[in-house]
Amino acid sequence: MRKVVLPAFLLFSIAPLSAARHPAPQILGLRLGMSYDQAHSRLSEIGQFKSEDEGQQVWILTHDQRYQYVIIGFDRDRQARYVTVLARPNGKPVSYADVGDLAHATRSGNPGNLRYTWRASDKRGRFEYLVIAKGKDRHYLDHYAIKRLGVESEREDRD
Amino acid sequence: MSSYIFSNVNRAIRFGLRSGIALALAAFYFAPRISASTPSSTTLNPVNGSSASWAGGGIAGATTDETTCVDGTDCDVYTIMLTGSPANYKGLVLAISISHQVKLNDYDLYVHKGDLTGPVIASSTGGIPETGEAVVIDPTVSGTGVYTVHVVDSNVAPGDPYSGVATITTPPTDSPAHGTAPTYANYQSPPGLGDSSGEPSIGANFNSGRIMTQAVFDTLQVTFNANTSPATATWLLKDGPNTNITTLDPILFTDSHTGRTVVAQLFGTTSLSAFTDNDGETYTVSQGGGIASGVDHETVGGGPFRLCTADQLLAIPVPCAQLAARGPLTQYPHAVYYASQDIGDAEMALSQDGGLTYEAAHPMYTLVDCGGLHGHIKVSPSGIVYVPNKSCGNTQGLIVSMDNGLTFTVQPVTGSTPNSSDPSVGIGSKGRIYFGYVAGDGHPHITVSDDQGRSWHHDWDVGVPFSIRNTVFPEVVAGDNDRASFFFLGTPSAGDGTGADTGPTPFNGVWHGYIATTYNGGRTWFTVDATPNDAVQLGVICTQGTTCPNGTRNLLDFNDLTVDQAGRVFAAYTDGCISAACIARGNNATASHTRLDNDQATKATIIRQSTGLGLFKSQDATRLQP
Repeated sequence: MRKVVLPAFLLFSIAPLSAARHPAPQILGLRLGMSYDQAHSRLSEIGQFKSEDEGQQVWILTHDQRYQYVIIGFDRDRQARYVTVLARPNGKPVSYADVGDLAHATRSGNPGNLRYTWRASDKRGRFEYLVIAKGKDRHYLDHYAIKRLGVESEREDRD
Repeated sequence: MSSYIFSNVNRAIRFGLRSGIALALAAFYFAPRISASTPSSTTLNPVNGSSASWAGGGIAGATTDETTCVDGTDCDVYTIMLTGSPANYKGLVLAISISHQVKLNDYDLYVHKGDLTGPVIASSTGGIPETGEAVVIDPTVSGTGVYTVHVVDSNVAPGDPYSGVATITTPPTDSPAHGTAPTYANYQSPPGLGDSSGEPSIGANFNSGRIMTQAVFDTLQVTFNANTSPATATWLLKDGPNTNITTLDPILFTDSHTGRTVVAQLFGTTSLSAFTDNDGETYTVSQGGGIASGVDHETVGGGPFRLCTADQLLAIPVPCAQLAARGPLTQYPHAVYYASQDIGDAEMALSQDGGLTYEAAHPMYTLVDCGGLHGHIKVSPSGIVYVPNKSCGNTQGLIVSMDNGLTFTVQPVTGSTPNSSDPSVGIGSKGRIYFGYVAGDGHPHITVSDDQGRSWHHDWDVGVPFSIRNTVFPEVVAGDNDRASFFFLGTPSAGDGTGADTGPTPFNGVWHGYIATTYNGGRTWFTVDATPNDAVQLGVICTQGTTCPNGTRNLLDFNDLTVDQAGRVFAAYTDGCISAACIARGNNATASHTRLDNDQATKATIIRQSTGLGLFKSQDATRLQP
């Protein structure tokens, strides 16, 4: 029994320290595909509603030392289509590598306008999604987002 | 010329200290300097006849607008201190004028409240052959204290110094627009062309004289034969090789001066795009855009790169070189920009090769600042990039980049209120911004800024002559600094004319296309019904996107407006009411005018200015013919 517990403990202890090869489709407990009600329940725990525009909501994060705002958009089935968090000025910095394994990301732009993009599949939800970390600094992000591919927004302006 | 000066700048500097470019240029522009005027200042009291005069420094030079001058070189400063309180000036105004001798020279006059960092509260930017500029300021509105007069050489040869006078006097009588209002004619696309034409774009190629327009699938080349009067129109289908495959947010942009037309359609996470230099005879397929994460509500625009003048280069070489690094990389001389809403923000990407490829996009703003969807890109003659937004907090907003799309500032349009139609900007030849918008109460408004959106004045409800109570699709184009046109669809019917129309009584209203025109910098406007006796739509025009019920959003989201090389104005719109029965109902005041009475058509139509002054004073001698 002891032989099993120790490796498991070590595994879970070490895992958060190393970035995932492909980042998960969730940020701050807000998961892509989550229902509107579930998302609001989570958002109410971590922040305060600020504004809504074209079916996209801005919430102020009240206690997070890294991020100041979360922006969430919903699809026509009222499921979370994308989640974006904006870094808190002078907050605890988040490096691009904290998001995911940079070796598996597509890098674009240059220092001053840097962007890492991961494309991944979620087996549970059976959807593809993008993870984007971008910022002006060469090490730390300003903006971190996840987005489902192949779904249209609640009020998509497509014609 | 400036672009050639910088063409050999080392590419390596383009990645260094880039975010500091706009800051450095702004700091330089606003830095207090030694005045070249004599004397350099005066104090005026609230007494009718209190007056002072000064002499300009005999400076000479050429600038694009106020932001491109170097004080003491091609502009100078005179300071006026008004004593007392604003109430002391009741019944009085501060009148400031400058004059010079040579008709081929052109000075411009700007007045800032406070120092040069303060708002431009009045300006006079007439061109050749005027030999004077004048403004009137009401201190009971603008306040007392310091005013800074900034005299800028728009185009001045040596040997023609100006003289200035500032006087406290009684106000002139202001009158409504006088003269003759423009007239317009409508040209409907022929059967089989432009039959499904929601949200059209339009552009004028100054080199060929042709009009290019696009809506949904069709890219159309339109040639007006002016040898007959009224002119006849020839419409030809000129689709790009990859822009008639799918239709999501169709956009066409024509750079009037270069003659290049860019057409684009959204496609998945990017955009399908191509450009043509011969009005659609041949196309070059391009990269599409610089945003790869799933764009929406795209727009394409362009114009001159922002580059330092020769005087600025001497004064601030490092930021000028950094700016030049974002200049042209090919023979194509102008910038092309692609912008779109993304996920939680909106971004813009610069193309330095005429729209063939784009850099990785830069964020313009996040949803914390403004709503995600925005209006269309416009670029000033000095290369300042503007994107209007219908909702930035409690006002509409203008996103401004002064470094070729590297960094952006969100300027609130003070006095405005948010609405559901995207606003539009027109930019005069010397940088004056005309911001046309639908106010929160549905009325069509236009307001003016002479300082890149930092302050606004002359906000007018131009729908008053027709009692317009509901408005959609504001579109603006400017020519000379003092001349602009504002196109919108409006109806005098009150109620929710732009909603989903799900109530028990359908919205009842007749919509027409109106064009308001100013020839004096936005102080007064002529408003004309440009579609008289032929309604554009009966019933509601829903502006709530794809949540709109069937039959309420046939016109989609916008129209467009442009000007040709003669100063003649052209508007592109979608006509939803085209049958004889629908048109007759629109002309019958007692008939029903709900969506049930409308054709729900989507027919491409162009309004062409027939008579009246155009937007270029230099063309006034050649009167427009129908």
